[in-house]
Amino acid sequence: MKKYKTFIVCVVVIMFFGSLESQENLSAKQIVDRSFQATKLAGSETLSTMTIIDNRGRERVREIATVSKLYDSGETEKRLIRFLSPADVKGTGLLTFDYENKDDDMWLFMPALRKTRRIVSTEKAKNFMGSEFTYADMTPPILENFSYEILGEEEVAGTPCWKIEMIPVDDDIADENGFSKRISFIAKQDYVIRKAIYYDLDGELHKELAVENVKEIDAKNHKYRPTRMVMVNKQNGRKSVLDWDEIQFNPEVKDEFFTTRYLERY
Amino acid sequence: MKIKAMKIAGLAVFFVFALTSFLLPQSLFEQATSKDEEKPYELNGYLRGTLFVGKVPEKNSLEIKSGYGEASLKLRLRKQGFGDAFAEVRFRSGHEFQKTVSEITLREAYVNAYTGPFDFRIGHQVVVWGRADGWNPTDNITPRNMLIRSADEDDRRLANFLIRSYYNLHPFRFEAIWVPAYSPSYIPTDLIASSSGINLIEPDYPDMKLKNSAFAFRLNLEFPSIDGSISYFNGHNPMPGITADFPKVFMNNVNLDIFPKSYRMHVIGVDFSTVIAGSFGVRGEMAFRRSHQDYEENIHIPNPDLQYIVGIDKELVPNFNLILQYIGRYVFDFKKLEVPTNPVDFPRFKLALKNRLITFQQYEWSHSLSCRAALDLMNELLSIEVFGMVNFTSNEALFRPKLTYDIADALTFTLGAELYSGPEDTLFELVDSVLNAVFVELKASF
Repeated sequence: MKKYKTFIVCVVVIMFFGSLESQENLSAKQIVDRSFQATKLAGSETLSTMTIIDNRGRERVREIATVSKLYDSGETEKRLIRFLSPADVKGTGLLTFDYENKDDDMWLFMPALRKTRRIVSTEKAKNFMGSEFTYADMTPPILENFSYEILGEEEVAGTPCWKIEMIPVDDDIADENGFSKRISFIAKQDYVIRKAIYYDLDGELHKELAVENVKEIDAKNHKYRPTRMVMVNKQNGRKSVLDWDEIQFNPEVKDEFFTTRYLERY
Repeated sequence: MKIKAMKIAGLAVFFVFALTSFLLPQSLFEQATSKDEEKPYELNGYLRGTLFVGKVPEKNSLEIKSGYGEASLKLRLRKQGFGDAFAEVRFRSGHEFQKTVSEITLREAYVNAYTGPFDFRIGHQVVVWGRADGWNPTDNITPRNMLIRSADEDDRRLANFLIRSYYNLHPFRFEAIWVPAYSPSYIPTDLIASSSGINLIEPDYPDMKLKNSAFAFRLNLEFPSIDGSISYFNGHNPMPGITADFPKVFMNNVNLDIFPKSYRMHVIGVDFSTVIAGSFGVRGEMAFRRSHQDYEENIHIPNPDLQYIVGIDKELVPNFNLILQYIGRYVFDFKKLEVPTNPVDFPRFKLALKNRLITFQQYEWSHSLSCRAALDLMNELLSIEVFGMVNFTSNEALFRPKLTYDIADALTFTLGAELYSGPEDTLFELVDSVLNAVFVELKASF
């Protein structure tokens, strides 16, 4: 029995120091990769509310329903976003096949056009529903499109984080994503991003992202999701708040959601 | 007998299986998008005020072309995963074409049923086919009224009664449509054939016999990197031609009775869309059209033709999107219309010319370019869109700029224009005095 206990203690100690060593030896790119993986759920359904606040404090509210599922051993995430309000965009749907190592395939259905239209996925710098978020902020980027450097460590709201600089490898990638540099603060405890600072294509401070209320959604695989993200535009004073009102972990999401057939059924 | 019974049993099992798959509780996403939890129906719609101002024909002054207020009520019923139903009723009151209008129209009313891989839609509905932007030669099911004045181009589509069904076997999607009764597009006969000595009489459209119904099929292929379809339409062209009871011998001061007449045609089409080099959207569409009847003997029937479109779209800078398209047409067996030497043939000659205008068959080959530029500003509160099309063969041009500003959520202001231009004896020259206008619209949706 004593031998058995000693063995257990040794294993735990080795695992503890091993994990510390592996965490300390991680490169900036590996940390960013783990950060993307940490929020990838096998399947999920969410309801969220986007509040867009202009520099005079006027609010506009959009409601969104999202369903997503991982395919190809997690290398492809299929996602359907349906806009629920306001009334003039209700029914609009966006179907995305988000690939890890190539450009996404995207289809947009607008009830007013009555047909599904394939759209070019490199239009990621575009504002998402008129908010301060861009399509690039809503999907993990291709890892190879950026260079990474650990700038140091810093606490964000009491959470120890790595401070990592992310720079597009060329001007085209910068144009596509809408920033020349991003500094991300990634939590050491769960690899979930807690804060990000964006610099525009001229290198000027542009936006600041705050990520709040991080919750473990898939306890078995240690997958997390924040329930609130706030993006503040430092140049024009506008702010966009994205609240996830409901997040449901569901690896058994129906495959038929990710078809143009379902996209057109609003 | 036994085999038949087994087939029936097999079908029954299949349908039970298909139906039970929809008896499962709805997911969070389905509940959110259908609002089933709250109530089984949704009531939406809009209120809008629209004003079109244009030039008085052949005068140097302005007139109100259209000014109306309109209320739209859209009702959607949900039947869990089994189906849904939709209806839109519009009430319009105001002035149009120098007349007072006050009308109630049923824009659409249809019911959807979803049973396993089959989807059915029956009712008064609009069908839009084709992956090209703005000009779709494969889109021949829904009639149109190009004289409708609205800030929304979709309002020119006129719903008709039809049965639409799908068989879904991803990545294939087979679609079949049956249009039992003919419903024509609006043809501005008074503009096309307005001169003294011409009477417009009742149109010659097919009656409600089954043999006159139209049917269409489309096989959609939907792969992640490319999607496309092949389609076939067999039915009367929603856009009729114009013909007349021509006198056998020439007589002075005799009126000519002209009338719209439809004709049956086959249309075979293909279309596709994809993305190349990661940042260019590429789309194309092609259709071959041929009438059932002899086009040489009937002036209202166009020659067989082939239309082809290829275009690219690209976001040049964030929030600025450009779609460029080449639109071509080849008319088979094209013969130039010769001015007749016998006066008795002159009315036929003139009407044949007009028919060529409305079927865009004035030339054996014609080449056009279209461009749609869209710019979103102020975080998508302000959208500027400009659509332009130039036919380099006939020198006709269309220019349609539109500015939309979101005053608040679901409250929009639109300012735009629709400008047609063309040399003498072209379609755009005929319609420019009626359609050229600047418009404003204020619309509140709920």
